[in-house]
Amino acid sequence: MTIKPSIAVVDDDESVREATTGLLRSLGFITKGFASADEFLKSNRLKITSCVIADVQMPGMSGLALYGHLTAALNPIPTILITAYPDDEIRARAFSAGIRHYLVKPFSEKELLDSIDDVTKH
Amino acid sequence: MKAAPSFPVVKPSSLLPVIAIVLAAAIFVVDTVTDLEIAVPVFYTAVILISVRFCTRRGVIFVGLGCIGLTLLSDILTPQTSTSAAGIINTTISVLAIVSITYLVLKTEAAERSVYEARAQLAHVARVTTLGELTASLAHEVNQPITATVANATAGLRWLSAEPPDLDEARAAIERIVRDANRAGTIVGRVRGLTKRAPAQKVPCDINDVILEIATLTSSEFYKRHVKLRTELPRDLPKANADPVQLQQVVLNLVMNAVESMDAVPEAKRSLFIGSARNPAGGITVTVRDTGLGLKGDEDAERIFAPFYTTKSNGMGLGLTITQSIVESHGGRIWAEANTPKGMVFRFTLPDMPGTS
Repeated sequence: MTIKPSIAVVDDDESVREATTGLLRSLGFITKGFASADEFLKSNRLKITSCVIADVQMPGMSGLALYGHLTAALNPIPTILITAYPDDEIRARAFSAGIRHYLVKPFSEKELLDSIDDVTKH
Repeated sequence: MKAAPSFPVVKPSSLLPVIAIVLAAAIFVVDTVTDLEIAVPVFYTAVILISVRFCTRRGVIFVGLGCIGLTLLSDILTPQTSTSAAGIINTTISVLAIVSITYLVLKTEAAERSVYEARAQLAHVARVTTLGELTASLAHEVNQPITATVANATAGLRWLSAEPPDLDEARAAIERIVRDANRAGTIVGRVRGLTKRAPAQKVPCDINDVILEIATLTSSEFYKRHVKLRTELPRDLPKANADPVQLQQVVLNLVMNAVESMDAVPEAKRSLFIGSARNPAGGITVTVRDTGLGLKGDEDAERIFAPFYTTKSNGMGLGLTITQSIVESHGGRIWAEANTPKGMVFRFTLPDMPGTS
């Protein structure tokens, strides 16, 4: 049995993490939440992760830094950044690193879906 | 807010203890070996001054005692001078010098440290009083449960309209909404608790004292930002019936706003005036005048008191709102006008003590 690709939700805030994984589940995705970038990197789920949704501001490694780690691989896992503090400088850095989606909390389901669609179809 | 650094404030080079020890040894040798009738041990004061750079308070006291010990030891080992009058006088002088220097040096360090702590306190008070950083982080905290609720509600609706509806998941989503909304409610309650002051504890209050306290607290800001301060605080000012802590917040807010508004103005032109005066209609009037940027083109002097109105890139716009509410709750009025040629003038009044004419 092949393992279905899963969406990783990385956010230190428990409410947002549980709600986002819940929302993705209701949309039919397989998903798993991680409380920190470290936890995600140390899990052995990187190969089966189709997409990462990560908060920018987190204690320890930020979402942007996490993507930096992922880009070390041949096919970096597509990443969507979410943030409560929209910051033009961080948005610019994310874009130049290759991240096309920078969502501001609270984001709508449509924004989330559109972003996931966009990154997983390429 | 960073904790005050532990004493000492400056990180030493590791050479200093070596220098201190070598110097102490040299003085001891000279003192013991020679029978010069001079108070050689007075030079131990240099050792104490060096030790302040790398010792704790207790360490400095030990060094002081150590030097006294070495002085007496040296005295005992030099029989020729130990019993002569000159010898006893020299030893006494040296011990007194060592004790005095140790005491003075510790006092100075304590004073420097309390200045540092007062400045850190000011920075903290300025932040919390104008609710800058605090409100930003509170906004962030409230945003999280709102984000989660949007996601949970959307998910819940989807589960309910699934074929067949997934009631367990929907229920769990709604329970998460309840939990998150309560969390948001607690945060809002905290904000309300901060902007609503504890009931004012009014006492007869000398506004000049308050102004002087704030001017002292902020003096390092004036120095750093090259602001010239002038005050006019007449001595015979009647007392106001006010909560001194709240008055401090008002004056601090007006002074910090003024100082910050002058950042964009050339250093030579930064000037702040704080004055108090008896109000002919009764009570007192306080004036804070600055030579900063003043009102922008379409701003008006009333709008700046509105909540969440700010021209600062990281401001929350509540400082003047709170200031106005404090002044009004004391029965006074506050208003602003443009200063000529540039800048702002803020004035507020406070009524007389009840029972006076």
